[in-house]
This record gives sequence, C-alpha cells and structure tokens, in this order.
Amino acid sequence: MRRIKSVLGYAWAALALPMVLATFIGMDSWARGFASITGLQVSPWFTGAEVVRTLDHGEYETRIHRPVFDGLISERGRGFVQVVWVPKGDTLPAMIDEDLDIIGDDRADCRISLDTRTNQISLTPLCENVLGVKEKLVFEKDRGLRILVSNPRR
Amino acid sequence: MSTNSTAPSRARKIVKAALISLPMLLLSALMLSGGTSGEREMMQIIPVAVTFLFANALFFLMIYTGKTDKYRSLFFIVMAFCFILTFTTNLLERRGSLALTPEDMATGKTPFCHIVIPMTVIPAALTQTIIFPGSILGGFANISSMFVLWIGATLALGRGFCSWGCFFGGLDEFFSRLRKRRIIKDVDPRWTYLPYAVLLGVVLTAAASLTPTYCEWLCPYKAVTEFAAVTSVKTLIQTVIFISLFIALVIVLPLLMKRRAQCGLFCPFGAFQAFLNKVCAFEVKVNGEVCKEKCRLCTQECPSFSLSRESISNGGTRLSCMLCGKCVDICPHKAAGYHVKGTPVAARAGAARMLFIYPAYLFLVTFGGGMISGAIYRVLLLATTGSIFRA
Amino acid sequence: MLQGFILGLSGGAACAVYCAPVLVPYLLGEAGGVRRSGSAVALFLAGRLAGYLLFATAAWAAGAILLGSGKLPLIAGPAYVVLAVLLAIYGAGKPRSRCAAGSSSSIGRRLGGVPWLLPLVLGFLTGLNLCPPFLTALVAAGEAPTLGGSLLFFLMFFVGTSLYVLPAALLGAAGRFPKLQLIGRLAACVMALYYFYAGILRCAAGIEQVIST
Repeated sequence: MRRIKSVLGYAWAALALPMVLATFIGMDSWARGFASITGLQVSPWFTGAEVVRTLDHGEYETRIHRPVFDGLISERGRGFVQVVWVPKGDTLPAMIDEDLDIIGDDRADCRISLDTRTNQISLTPLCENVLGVKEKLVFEKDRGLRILVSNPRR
Repeated sequence: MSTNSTAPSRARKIVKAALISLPMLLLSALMLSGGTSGEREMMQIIPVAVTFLFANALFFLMIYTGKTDKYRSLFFIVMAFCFILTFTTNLLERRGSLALTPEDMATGKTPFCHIVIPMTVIPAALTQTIIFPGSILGGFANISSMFVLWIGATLALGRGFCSWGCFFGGLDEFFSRLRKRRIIKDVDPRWTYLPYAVLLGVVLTAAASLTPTYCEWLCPYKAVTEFAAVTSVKTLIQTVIFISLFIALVIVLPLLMKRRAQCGLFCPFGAFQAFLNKVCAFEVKVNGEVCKEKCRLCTQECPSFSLSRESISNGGTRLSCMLCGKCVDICPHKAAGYHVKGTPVAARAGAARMLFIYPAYLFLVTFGGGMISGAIYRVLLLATTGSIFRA
Repeated sequence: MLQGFILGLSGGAACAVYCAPVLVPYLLGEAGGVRRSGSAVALFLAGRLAGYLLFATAAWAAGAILLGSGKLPLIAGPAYVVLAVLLAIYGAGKPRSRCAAGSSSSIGRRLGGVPWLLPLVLGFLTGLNLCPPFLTALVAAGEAPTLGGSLLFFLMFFVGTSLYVLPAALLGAAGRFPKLQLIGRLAACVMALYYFYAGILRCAAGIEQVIST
C-alpha cells in the first residue's frame, strides 16, 4: 500500500509540469471549452440583460432590454430595465422624447426626454412599477439608461 | 592542493546546474516566444530576450545554490511591479482611464482577476452567471482564461499559486523584505484565521447581493490597478477603504512584521486556495528527527504564518502554506524540505524539490514573463518615442 | 392562510440566502453540537417570527401605506445598525464555552450571560429585513381584512420560509472544531461592517425620502 501511494504520489507530481505546459499552450481552446461546457454568462446585473424589443424610429433605434430581477434563487422585488438609443448614422437626434413600455405589459410605463448633447435625462413614471433613474450610460455614439423598477410579479 | 580540488568540483557543479537548467532554458524559450518564430520588431524582441535571460539566470542560480525562495522572490517581486506598469498602461491605452465607469462595466471591459473566483462559485452554480462585469471570452483577461489558468495552477501547485503566480503577492513580499529587523515580532495566532472569516463573509454577501463584494469594498490592490470612478459618496468611501487597506496591509504591516500581511492575514483567495492545497502533489514537510524545535527560525520567518510549534510537531506546515520555500532555505538543520505527498518523508528530498520547482518556476516565468517583457517594452517605448503609449 | 404558506415556500430559499450572512457566522462561532445549534436556530426563528408579527400588525394597521411611502428604510436602516453592533460585540467577545464573564464589554457579558438572548435578537432584527419575499408578504398582509387575518398570513409565511432555514442547525456539528468557532466569530465581525454600512445607507435613503415628500 505504501509503495502504491508512493508511486501515485510521484506520478501526480510528475504530471505537474505537463499540466502547466498544457494550461498555457492550450489556453485559448481550454477557455473556449470551459465557456461552452459550463454555459456561463456574465450576470445581467452588469450586462443589462438581452434586448427584447427594438423600436425603429428611422434615424435611430430604441433597444429595450429584458427587465433584470434575477436573484440567487428566486426573483428580486426590485430591479432595472436597460434602454439604449442607437443611431443608424453617426449621431443621435439632439432631443429624444418617447413613451416606453419597458415592462412588456403593452402600455407605456414611463416618458423619457433625453438631450443627447448634454446627456440630461428626464424620466416621468406612468405606472407605479417605475421608480426612477438607476444609472445613465454614455457610450461613444449610443446613449443608455437603466431604469429602476419594482417587480410586477411580486 | 585544496584549490586544485575545489576548482574542478566547482566546475562540475556549474556544469551539473547548467545541465539541469537546460530544459528550463528550452521550455521558457518556447513559452516566452509564444511558440511562434515569425518576424518581430526589435522593440518586441529585446524585452522578451531580457526577460528570458533574467528568468534563466535566476533559475540557474536556484539550481546551483540550492536556494529556492531567494531567487523565486526576486522574480516574483519584479513581476508584481511590472504587472502594475503593464496593466495600468494597457488600461489607459484601451479605456483611457484607470477609473472604471458604468459604461465599461456594462460592456464587459473589466479584466477578471483570480481573487474574484471564490465569490463567483455559488452564484455560478445556482444562476449560471458570473457576478463580475468582465467578458466570458475575448478581450483583456477574460473570465474563461482566468478560470483555466486558476484550474491549471491549482492542480499543479495548490496554494503555491500565491507564491509562484499571484501578480499581486510580490508587492507585500517586497515590503516585507525591505527592513532588516522586524518591529512586530509576535502575531496572535488567532489573526491567521481572519482570511477564512473574510472568505466566509465575502462568499455569503456576494451570494446574497450578486455582486463581488470583496472587489467592491475590500480589495487593497484596487489602489494600484483600477477602481470605480469617484462619482458618489459610496465610491468615495470605497476608494478611501482601498487606499487605507493598501497602505496598512501591503506596505505598513509587511514592513513592521517582515511577513506577507495581506496574503497571510486577509486575502480570501489565499484562504480558498489553502483548502485546494489538498489536490496538489506537493507540500513542505519538517523532519521531526532532524528538527529539534529549538531555533524556531522557520516559525518566525514563514511569510504566510504557516509554521507553528504545533504544525512542526505534526510534521509540516499548516494548510495555508504557499510553498515559497523560505523555511527550506533558512533551516540550519535542513529539516524542512519539499515533499511529494504519499512518499516517505525523508526520501529523495532533492528529487521532490526538482519535481516542484520545475512546474512552479515555469508557471511563474510564463505568467510573469509577459508582464516583465511588457513593462520593459513600455520603458523602451518611453525612451525611444517619449511616450509610454503606442502610437 | 394557505396562500401565506405557499408564498413562504416559494420565497423561503431567498429568505435563507438573506439570513445566511448573519446566521452562519453565529452558528459557526458557537460550540456545542447540532442539538445546541438547533435550539439557537429555533430561537433565531422565534425572533424572526416576532419581527414578522410586529410588521404584520403594522401592515394591517397602515394598510401597507408604509410600503408605498418609501419610509420602510427608516425601520430597516436602524435595525441593520443594531444588528451590526450586536454582531460586532458577539464576534469580539470570547466563546461562551470558556467564560461568559470574560466578554470584553458589559453588553457582551450580558449577552453571554443570557445565551438565548442573542439568537432571538438577531432573528428579530433579520425579521425586519426587507427581503423580496417579505415585502410581498407585507403587501398581502396589508390587504387582509382583519388583524387576525394579517397575523395568520404572516405566521404561515413564517412556517413556509422556516423550512429552508432549519437545516442551518447542522452547522452546529462544526462547533466541535475550535478553529471553526474562531472563524465564525471573526466572520461575525466582518459581517458587522457590512450590515453597519448597509444600515447607514438605508437610513440615508429613508431620510432623503422623508425630506423629498
């Protein structure tokens, strides 16, 4: 038994060098394999979740993301909805005024006025689930907003 | 007569050390060159060549002198400082600022760091998401690559990663080696359990809040890498905490204690990695028949507080051992040594050391080599173009 | 009644997640095996029930007005601060198995001297926690026609959520290892910092809300 343990110990120790080599040499393919096997994604609390509706306004698009209420086990009572305005050309119009259905209940939940030059945003809640502005996002061409909402299912 | 016999024996020793170092020379050439032989500019060749020579000179000395920690430490410290330079200049080049903005987080531009890993485990298992604003694949220091690197390092080195791979550890190691005399001599052993408490705290709060709480609130290294842009009272408090913890844990306490205070008394990743020491083949053993437990040099000098009278009487180190090799270097009785688990304690200590330092040093050189050559490149760029950034 | 129980069952796991940062360090820090740990969990749950029932009464009386006005942080904020202080005292004190009188402060001594008090108070304070299932229950209880109905709703909600917290008693098995006990107490101090800050933030949010209205 002692001999077997000894042989196994040395074998595991000798494998350490190939393991290090394999880690670095195969890094890219290991990483791709890791991502596909685990199916891991970055938490929607950071990414803003996936786009669920796109509204075409001709010179720009309004992209409404899925409401983020994701909790560890069940949904949270509060979350946010990310909205991003993307120009079709180089720039967004100077002023954007929109009534948006951000929760997906087929009625406008809030009214947004966005000055794309000063990045001033005014948000008017049209339903009790819309609580306010969580965060403004100023990208090179796009402008975004995270709107604090309460979970209508809770 | 004596000089005649010494010269050939020294020559023999040098040849022997050179022969043992030869595989490292080849492997490090392969790893540092990235396995490509394509044409490169001189500005790219010089940093890699300097790093290659530096790494192999140290490895040769490691073999020739039989001292592990002394030369590991030098590379490790240089790596940490070069990491700061390379990382910050890269970020400034890519993002234009060290301050992390909400836009950077929304687009996954935050480099992933190994310290986040323990906090991601529970949310990843239950929600299949990583609670970090990085990118899964692609980009600088993506999440998948760091996980792969961590898995490889853990299987091969266990908590040895903290002394042979962590690009932050060299900073407190540097400060812990600056003074000759220690001012704080004894540390209450209860403090050595604080990293486990921090680990428990950050894992539970990260799971409850779905945010990497350690990175948000407690990471001292934010002070020298990247941090959230100060736009509110919250981010101001966070920044004050980062800077205070950096000064206290990475500079002041290591200076006063001559030990790695951040790694040994606070780091939750180190605590997490300590549990994973079990999966690696190597450990440090203290031969009770040789050690008389009188000098206690190793217990006083161990940078990670991993040796105590109790652990020595049990034949080795505590779970938190980083396999740095300091105790192996300084033990006057040669009682401490690297050991392959499952083998008899006194057997083939030299072979066990070689089996360990080859993968460990190759990991250090490959991982840290890019940082060192990157830093040299930046310095060359500054010297030749007057700017540290690429045109 | 059944609705309260089902709501508790459906949201109980989330409740357990919110209670874990307080309960886990406490249970690890206590010596004495699963049985003793079981009684600590029971006391914790009893405290939580008391917190729930207090809220149930308030919710019925106010018809969930509190929730709509955004003044709830003014209750949860101070509760968190007190929770943080208690956790810090607990963490800094010496383990009960040694000597309760050895605790560093008079509050610590009192808490050590009355072993059932701390889990009860911790439970009560986490009972005032605004976790999502709790908020849902609060709204539902606010709609109950009578005070009895509101209390019963919360009682059943409590029974449903408690099923998820009970397994925490198994952590008492770790109490045999003194080092885990030490880690638990140190973790309580770490958590104290977290809750202290969370409490201050909630207080600030509540005050801001009051000023703006």
